[in-house]
Amino acid sequence: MGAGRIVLHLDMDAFFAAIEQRDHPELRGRPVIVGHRGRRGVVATCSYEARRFGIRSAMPSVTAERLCPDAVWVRGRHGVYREVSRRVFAMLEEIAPVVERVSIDEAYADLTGVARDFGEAARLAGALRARIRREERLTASAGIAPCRFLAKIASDLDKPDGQVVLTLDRLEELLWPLPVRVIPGVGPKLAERLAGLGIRTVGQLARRTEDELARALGRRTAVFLHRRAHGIDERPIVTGHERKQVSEERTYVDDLHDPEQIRRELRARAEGVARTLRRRGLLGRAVVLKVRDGRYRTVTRTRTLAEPTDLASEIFAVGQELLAGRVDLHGRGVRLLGLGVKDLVSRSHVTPPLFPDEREQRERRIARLADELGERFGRDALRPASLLRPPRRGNPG
Amino acid sequence: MKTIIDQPTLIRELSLLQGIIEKKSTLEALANVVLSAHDGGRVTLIGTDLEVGYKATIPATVEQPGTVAVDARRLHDIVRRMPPGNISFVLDGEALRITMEKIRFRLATHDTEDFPTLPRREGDPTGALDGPVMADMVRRVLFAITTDDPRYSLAGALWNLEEDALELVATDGHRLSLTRRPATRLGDLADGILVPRKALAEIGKLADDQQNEVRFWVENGTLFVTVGDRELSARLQEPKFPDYRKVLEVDNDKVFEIGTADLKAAIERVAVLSTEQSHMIRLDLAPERLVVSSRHHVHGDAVEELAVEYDGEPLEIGFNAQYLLDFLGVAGTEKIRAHLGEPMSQGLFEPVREEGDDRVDRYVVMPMALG
Repeated sequence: MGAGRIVLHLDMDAFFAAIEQRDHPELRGRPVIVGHRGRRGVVATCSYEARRFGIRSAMPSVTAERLCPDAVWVRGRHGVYREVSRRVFAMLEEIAPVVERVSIDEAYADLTGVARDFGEAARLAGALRARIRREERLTASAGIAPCRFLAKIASDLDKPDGQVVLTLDRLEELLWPLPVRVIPGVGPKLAERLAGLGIRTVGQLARRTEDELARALGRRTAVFLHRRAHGIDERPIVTGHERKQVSEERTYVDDLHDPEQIRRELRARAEGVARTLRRRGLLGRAVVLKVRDGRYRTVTRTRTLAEPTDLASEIFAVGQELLAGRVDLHGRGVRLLGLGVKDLVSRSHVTPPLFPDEREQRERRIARLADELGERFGRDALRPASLLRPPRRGNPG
Repeated sequence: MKTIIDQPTLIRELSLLQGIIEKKSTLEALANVVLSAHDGGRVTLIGTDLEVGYKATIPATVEQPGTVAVDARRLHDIVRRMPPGNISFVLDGEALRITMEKIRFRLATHDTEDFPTLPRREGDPTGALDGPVMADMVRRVLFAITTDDPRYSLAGALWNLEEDALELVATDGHRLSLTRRPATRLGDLADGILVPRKALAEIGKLADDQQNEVRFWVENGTLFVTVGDRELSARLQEPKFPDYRKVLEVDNDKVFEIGTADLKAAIERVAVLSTEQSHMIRLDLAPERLVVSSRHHVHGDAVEELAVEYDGEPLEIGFNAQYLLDFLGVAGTEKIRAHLGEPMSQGLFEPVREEGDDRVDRYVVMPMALG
């Protein structure tokens, strides 16, 4: 299972402390500790400035106070952290179909099938980190490797705000000099026993045979250590939940009455939904239209497609048909308009068509180009002419 | 009406009718079968769903001619549970008395006026071929017809009548199956006809008859198929079929032959650990070997190596396992030949037969992107 996998580990840098420093400029550059002060308190996280004093997550607060008496202590705002976490992981989910969150600030993503090779995976990770910096003003570190364990090690190698690709041919250079404690599962006791065998680094561990280790530590531990030291970890990335639907909706301050305006809004929602589908490598089998009229009467209408799609024109066309044929507004305006797709299937799970439709092929090529330009120059770099507002009169050019 | 019918003869006809009659029709009359006893010792059974009609004539002892309409499913259930022997049918007021020795049923009858009339044919047959051959052809294409695609044009199989052969083609847009067999051409089929899935399935069932030839007519947008004393009529679809000749013209250079049963067993085994949504298996072709493998992102992986006569370029390609198994299940030969090309271009598969064999079968499948 290890062969050919590409795993990304994304780790937010000093997450809670970084959010506090972002939201409270007076804290920037200062040692900040998020957590409860006092005898029973522990450090939830701390800024890099505080880490220089030797303060670490989960350290008793009294110890932290002794190490750095001048640190600024901040009570955690967990609602805020959760919200930021949700947004960041949503960005990750846009590029990877399988994402496993291990904590509020850390997740694994399986990029196998998303990126062709490690180079492309690194570019994706770089773009993701740039987006997090741009939209959240926070930094994240990333590790890209053929398995979970190496990805996790890699994300730590150039922290903060760095990323490292750790492939098997770089183990000797990057993994082996590290102490055995970097291997998750090697606690103080096991590290001590290994030290007793003259093994302090992963490299020293790697040079022992499995049998040698087994004689001293038992077969189970030996197998585990031997595999990790050689960069083998077959544990899969497991998504806790699967997305059921991709949709967009807007509520309007003034109810929409103009059919042309409604049509344009529907087209814009279709473009957004299709873009999300393409970014996540998904196709939708059914189109869902949601309409709320001026009197808060809400209807949803669904139609299943012949073939699952990620094309705006198709989603838009079905949305329009549903709106025209199966929604009666009784002459009232539209307060809310939503368009989405459900019954999602990963594009890589579908056999491509034997008789490709020329028009669809062309639209998909253009859409991919627009997606790429959008990632580089912003979302509106390229969009359908029908979504452009007519130029204001008297505004040359 | 008063008639005596042999149980085994009747049950076969009623079973064939079950496939046609709609279980939940909006038109109540369509749940019925019309039973008519005629002078000269014949009974006819008629059923339809308006798209497909079926009429069978069977020998019987007719003491008093007449016609009744009764619920088809219940009549089938009654006759099915009778022991072999003579069953007597007598119209008694508004009910049909069905008796055999000490068994007595009274089944309500319905107005025969409400029952639609089946289309009639007039001219000479368009073509003819051997019954079991037709049944085999249907088996080779039926699975490739879409079951859930609302695109009308793909919901059937295309029939092309050539100089001395009948060709059936079916596709669901991802794979295509073609079969061609010698047939007698008596008329013309211009651009071919598109036979709906359900009609085709029923044709396959009634063609499976050693004694009788299959004859067919195409008149007024309707296909008529007769096999002995059975006749099926099907309303045809507009023949808007994709340009399938193009996808058959593959210039794939990676050609190998392999044992059908071995490959089928390997794919079935390996597919156990394919991803549920994709059913993808991977084929790694190299000189003298073909490796079939799968990987499930949670449950593990599977690999099986097969020996193969091949000395060309290596290839890694992915397929939906079910698509390959569908073909391997009907290939019917000891070996099959695969023609593969690029990882994202269609693969062609065919049964390996002796030279000069006039049977033609082609199966084309699109591969899947390897993760």
